[in-house]
Parts: sequence; C-alpha cells; structure tokens
Amino acid sequence: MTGAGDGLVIGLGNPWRGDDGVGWRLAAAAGGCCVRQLTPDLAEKLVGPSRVLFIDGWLAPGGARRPRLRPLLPAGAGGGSHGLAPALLLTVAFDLYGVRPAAALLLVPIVACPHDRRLSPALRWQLPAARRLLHRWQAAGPCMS
Amino acid sequence: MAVVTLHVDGMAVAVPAGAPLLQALTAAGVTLPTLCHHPRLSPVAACRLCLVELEGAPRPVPACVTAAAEGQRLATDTPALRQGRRLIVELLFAEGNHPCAVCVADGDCELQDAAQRVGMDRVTVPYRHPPRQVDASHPLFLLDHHRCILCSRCVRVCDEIEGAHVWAMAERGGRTRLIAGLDQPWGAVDSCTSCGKCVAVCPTGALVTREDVPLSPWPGP
Amino acid sequence: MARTITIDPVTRLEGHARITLQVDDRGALVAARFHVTELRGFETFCEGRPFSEMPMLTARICGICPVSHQLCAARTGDKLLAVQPPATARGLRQLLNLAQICQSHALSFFYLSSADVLLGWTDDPDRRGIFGLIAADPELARAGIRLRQFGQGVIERLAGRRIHPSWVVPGGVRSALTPATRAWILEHLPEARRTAALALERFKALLDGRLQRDARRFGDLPSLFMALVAADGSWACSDGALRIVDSQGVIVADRLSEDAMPSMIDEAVEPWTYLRFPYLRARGRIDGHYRVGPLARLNVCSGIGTPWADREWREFRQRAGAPVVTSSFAYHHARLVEIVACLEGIARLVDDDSLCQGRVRARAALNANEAIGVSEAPRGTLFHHYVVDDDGLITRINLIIATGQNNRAMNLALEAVAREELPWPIGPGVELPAQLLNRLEAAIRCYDPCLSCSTHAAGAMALQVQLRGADGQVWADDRRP
Repeated sequence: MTGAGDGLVIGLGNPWRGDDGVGWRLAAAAGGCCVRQLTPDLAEKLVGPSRVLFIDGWLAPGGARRPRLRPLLPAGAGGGSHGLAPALLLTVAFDLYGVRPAAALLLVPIVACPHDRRLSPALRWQLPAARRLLHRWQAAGPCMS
Repeated sequence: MAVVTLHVDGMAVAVPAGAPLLQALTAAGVTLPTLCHHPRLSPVAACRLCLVELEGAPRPVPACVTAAAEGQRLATDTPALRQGRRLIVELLFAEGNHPCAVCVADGDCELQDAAQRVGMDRVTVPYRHPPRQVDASHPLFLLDHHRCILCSRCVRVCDEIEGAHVWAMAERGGRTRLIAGLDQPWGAVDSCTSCGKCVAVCPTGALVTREDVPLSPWPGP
Repeated sequence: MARTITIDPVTRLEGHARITLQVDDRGALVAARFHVTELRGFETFCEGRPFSEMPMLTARICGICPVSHQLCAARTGDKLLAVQPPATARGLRQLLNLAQICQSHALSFFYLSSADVLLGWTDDPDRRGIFGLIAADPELARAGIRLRQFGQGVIERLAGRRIHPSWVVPGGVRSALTPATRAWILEHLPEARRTAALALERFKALLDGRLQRDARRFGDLPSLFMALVAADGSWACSDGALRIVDSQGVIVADRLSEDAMPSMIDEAVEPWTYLRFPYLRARGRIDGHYRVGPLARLNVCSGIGTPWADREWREFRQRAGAPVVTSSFAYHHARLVEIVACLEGIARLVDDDSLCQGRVRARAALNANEAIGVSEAPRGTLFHHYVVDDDGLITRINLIIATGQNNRAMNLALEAVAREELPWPIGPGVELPAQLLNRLEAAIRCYDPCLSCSTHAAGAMALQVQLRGADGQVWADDRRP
C-alpha cells in the first residue's frame, strides 16, 4: 500500500529487461505491488482501495518524451489470461466484485529493453518527472483521478 | 606490531604491516565478492574476484595475497574492476554446467551470491557445456564435477586442516579437474576420513551430502 | 485427389501443436492427426544424475503439474531405497497430491473450458475462456479463481512454494504439517466446497438441457480405461494398484503392480509427432489403446469412499446410462466430481492433527538398481522408471505421462468431431463450418493435455484451417484472428 491513504499502486514490467522495469521500480519505491503481468486473480486486490494507479512503460508512437498521467476507465474484453491490459483488469474487478476504484495510468516513455537491469539514460532523465506525477497522484484526493 | 596506514577508496585505515589487503578493505567497510578465499585457509588468489587497483602498480592486484604497506592508495570500485568482476563470474558460469533451478545448492551458493553481487543478469560469453561426470562412489558425499569452479578450497582444507590430502588438481588449462587420491573414485580413496570438511567449505553445489544415507551425517532436515 | 486440412494454432509459444484432417481421393476422411512438434528430450537431461535429484529435476517438466512428477519421482526413489515412507509422510504426500489435482482441475474447468462448456460455442473471442465466464457468470468465475488459489495455497503452505517446491524426497517429505497450515486449510475448505457445489449445479443443469447431445456424443469413442484404485477398489490417487476396464465396464486386469508396466505397456512411435502412443501389448497397437485421467479414474473405481463424492460419482455413471462413460466430453464432469473427491479427501486428512507429528522421512542407502513408480497426476496415470548404477546415478530412465496415454484417444476424438461437423464427402470449394475450429479445439481440451499450456489462449489464438489439393492449391481457407 502507498502512503496515500487507501490508494494502491501497481507497477507492471520486467525489472530484468532494461526500461521495461520502470513501472516495477517506481511502484516498488512507492511501496506498491510489482507484477510482470496482470492476471485475473489480481482483481481481488482492487477490492478495498478507493483509488488505484497502474505504472507501465510506454513505447510511445512517434516517440513521446514526457511521462503522462491519465485517468483510466474499465474497458476491453477477452484475450489471453496471462497479460491483461490495466483497463481490462478494472473490467474484471467490476464484473467479479462490483468494485470500481478510481483508476489512473502513469505511462513512462521507454527506449530500449535489453537484458539488463539498468534503465537507459534517456529514461533516467525522465524519472524525476515520473516521480512528480506519482507523488501528485498520491497527494491528490479521491476525486483527482 | 608495526601498524601501517593506507587509503581504501579515499578512506584512511590502519592495519598491521604485512597483513593482506583484504584486511584493510574489511577495516574500511568494503566487502568484495570472493570465491577461493577462506579465512581459515592459505590464500591462493585463484578466483581473481578481489582484484583492486593499487596506485603505482602496473595492473590490478589480488587483495587476498598482497601485503599492506604504508601509504598505499587503493581503489576497489572502478568501472574497469566492476566490468572485470562481472566477466569473471560469467566465465565461471560458462565454463561449467550451472543450472541453478535444479541445483541442490540453489539459494545457498557462493557462486550464485557472487553473480548477484556483480549484477550478472545473463552470461555474455558462449557456454562451453562441458561433458562432465558425477562421482557418487563415496557413501556419504557426492562430487558433481559439473558444478566445480576449481577454487581449491577442498584441496587446501583437506591438506592444511584434516591432513589427509585426498584432493588435488589434475591436468592443465581448460581440462583442469579435481581428482581424489591417485585419480580414483572418491569412495576408493583409503586416506579419506569422511570428515566432511571439503563439503563444508565448497562454495557451490560441487561437494554435497548425499540424500540416500541411512543417517544424516549432520543435523538438519 | 488426396487433400489435407491443416489447423495451425499459432500462439505466443510457436509450433507446439497442429491439427490436420487427411482426406482421400473420394473426399472421405482418412484420419485426424494431432501433431506435437516440440521435442524436449527430458530423459536425456536426467542421465548421469543422482536419483535423489529426480523429484526436483523432473518437476521442471511442467509448471502446471510439477507436484505430480515430484510425487512419482519420490515414489520411485522410495523403491530404490527399498523403504516404506512413514505413515505421516504418506498422508502428507497424499494431501499434496489432492491439492494439486484440485488446483489443476480448477484451472482446466474454470479458466480454460468453462466458457465453451457453460456458455456455448461462439466465435466471439471476448466471450471465450475465463473472460467469457467473468462477463456471463461472475459469481462462478470468482469462485473458480478462488478455488484454484485454494489448491495452490495448500501446496505453497505445505511445500514452501506454489511451483517447483523441493519438499518431497525419496523416503518421505522434509517437514510435517504445521498447525498454522492445518488451520488455514480448515478455514478455507468450506468456501472451496461451496464452489464445487455451485459448479456442479450449473453444469448438471446444462447437461439436462443444452449440453444433452454433447454429453453423450461429443468425441464419443470406445476404449480401455486405466487408473490406480485402492485395495478395496475405490478411487485412489497414490498408493494403489492398477486396474483396467473396457468400454463395457468389464474389468480386464486388476491388482496390477506398476512393476508390471514394462511387460504390459509398449509405446508406438509415429513419424508425424513427437508424442508417443502407449498401448497394452496384449491387445496390440490399435485395440490396445487406453485412456487415463479423470474419466478413466471414475470409470475404473468402484466408488470414491467419501459421502458427497460417492453421490456425485453414482450420478455421473447413471447419467451416461451405461456401465462406463465413453464420451470425451464427460472429462469435464469427471473433473468436477474429482474436485469434490479431493476436497473431501483433504478434509479427512486434516480432520485431526496426525499429520502435524511423527516421523516424516525414512532414511536408507541405495538398495535396488531399478524401480518403477506410479501416481495419479491430474491428467492421468504417471509412471517413472529408473535404472541406476551402484552409486545411484541414473543410467536409463523412461517417463510415461498422461497426455501420451491419451494421445490415440485425442486423435480419435478429433476424427469423431470432424465427421460430425463436415459434410462428407468433401469436394473442392467446400465451405468450412464456422464452428469447426472451436469444436476441434474443444475436443482436444476435453483431455486437458499439457499442451494446453501453449494452446489455452482462447480467443487470442490464431487458428487456421486450410483445405488443400494435392497440387498445393488452396481450396478452402478459414481462420480465426
């Protein structure tokens, strides 16, 4: 759990694959939950918190440079059960448990995912901005996201 | 006892003159990964993981066998040293057969610890996949050559402490291997006292206790 | 002109399995073939290793049923040591196996098959697999997810981790049941039982309705059935003897020791698949094929031995209206009955605290050079056969796994489905029915083969059917994105 009341932070990614681990790292630092992929049984974690923030790496089309924090609504359906999109996990949580926490998605632009635990220099340069967005989400009340 | 003062990564520490540099490192709070070193055994500087840069020396020196002297300036964490240490560990993994997932020493292995210490997330050199054997001829213990990194701790503990001198290294270079007695099956070596010291000091899963013994030689599950 | 229809499942793990329907010159179906195109060669990894490592090494064969391989490897190890594990250890191993069967069946039923079974056949990828179930019946989906977590929770608490634990050893296990784990199991059992009851209620309602035809006819085929039974003939998942019945329910072999396996079973090899075809030597390659797994276990046993499971088992047989249930579709129902058997079995084992105390491991030196172990895995009877040298190093090893033993049946089930779904004889330009892909896939899924690991991405799986002439020309093409 994060320091922000009953907000839950979920970081997505593989910490052994370069920039892909950025969500994992930020969530770990915020005391959140770190996963390599979203699976249906995680929906149970969304019961309780009034707010949830997903953090994921973002291979942005056109090469976006800045991290983005955006509200997230339940959406999507189907697909494999090994790697759900955050919006789909919200759908599953609503369908299964009737919960609809206010959700947001923090996307951090990533550059390269080699077999390496280190982040690329370009991404490291973005980290302060990403942390600011994370802190802003944590500090905001339930209405913000 | 004469005391010398030297600098480890800029920090001044005092150790007895002639003590190994590793002692100075410890005094400075620096711990380097080591594999062949054992505090109760003579040093051999085989694994090269404790190499440090000594100001004025033409190349890095092993801290386990280099004597401390007045005014030395050491660097323990330069990019070249970090890169070298990682490469050494990678080479050890590539030289033998080390599938941690199915190894009995998984989670209790100094080679694995070293890999984590140096940040080895993959092996960048080609694996040799050497065809090696398991010597299961001893009634209590098992020698798995696949997992041996030739650190020689077993050779030294048997010679220096138990005094049985069961172990030795045979051949040279890439073919170097650990042998028992006169290159016999371990169980056939009469001089072995079955004391288990070699198993106790082995940093990997190369020397282990057998599972199929009527009584566990040591307490535990 | 001979033609071949190829169905190529391309998933994130490519090249695992493929289905072809062979058509002869007159447009008639010759055979359906389920190709397994991956070779792992696991036996080779094991040669030269100490037999005591086998529980850990063979567990790596699969991430769904590692526990089954461990149990079988440890059983084989017991026999190499020539020891009987202490009673507490036998009970603990049984507890682990019941939890394993429970979690694996929950995965198969709720995650992989539920939507097809409960919601009907559809091409809409959003309605297939677990998501279809979540949308249509959240109560059941929630319960199913929790049931699998229960089985995994027992394994994790008992053996230290959910996947690839190293708790089972030749001679016994490493530690006894802790009072905390026993309390956890007792606390969670009632919910698991409610889930099983709910699933059975929904499923049986459908058997009386929409699934009536499927239940009797889907992938229906005669075969022998083999499974372990206890000394009194009741359902057993370990510590039993082998029994074989035919499709009329006649017991053709009983009280067989697993030691008879090499003289009893041979394995045929076909050039088009890496999966072997075990068969009973006495009956030959074709007539000697037999089925294993949940359906076989319920067909060979003469009762389960616990009250609720016994009721469900009797009803399961009565519904078929025959002494033995032969439809492939019945595997799904059989899994639900077995979940009940597992839950009641677990309840019985943790009813008192006898598994929390006593000796858990028998120690011995190597006392034999060859041994065969057997145990019931979720998908069927599993054999490990080791030959070791005098130092205990493996010199020869053979593993006969459940999916292999159901290999012939899977091919025959595909053939049966293809016969029903296509307008035979087939000519050029035939329209392939929209649901052919789903039905063929469902026929495979009845057997829940280990390959379902790679082919379970329901809806997301790209499937392709091609009807090709011998000249290579595509006559009909259907694919699912």
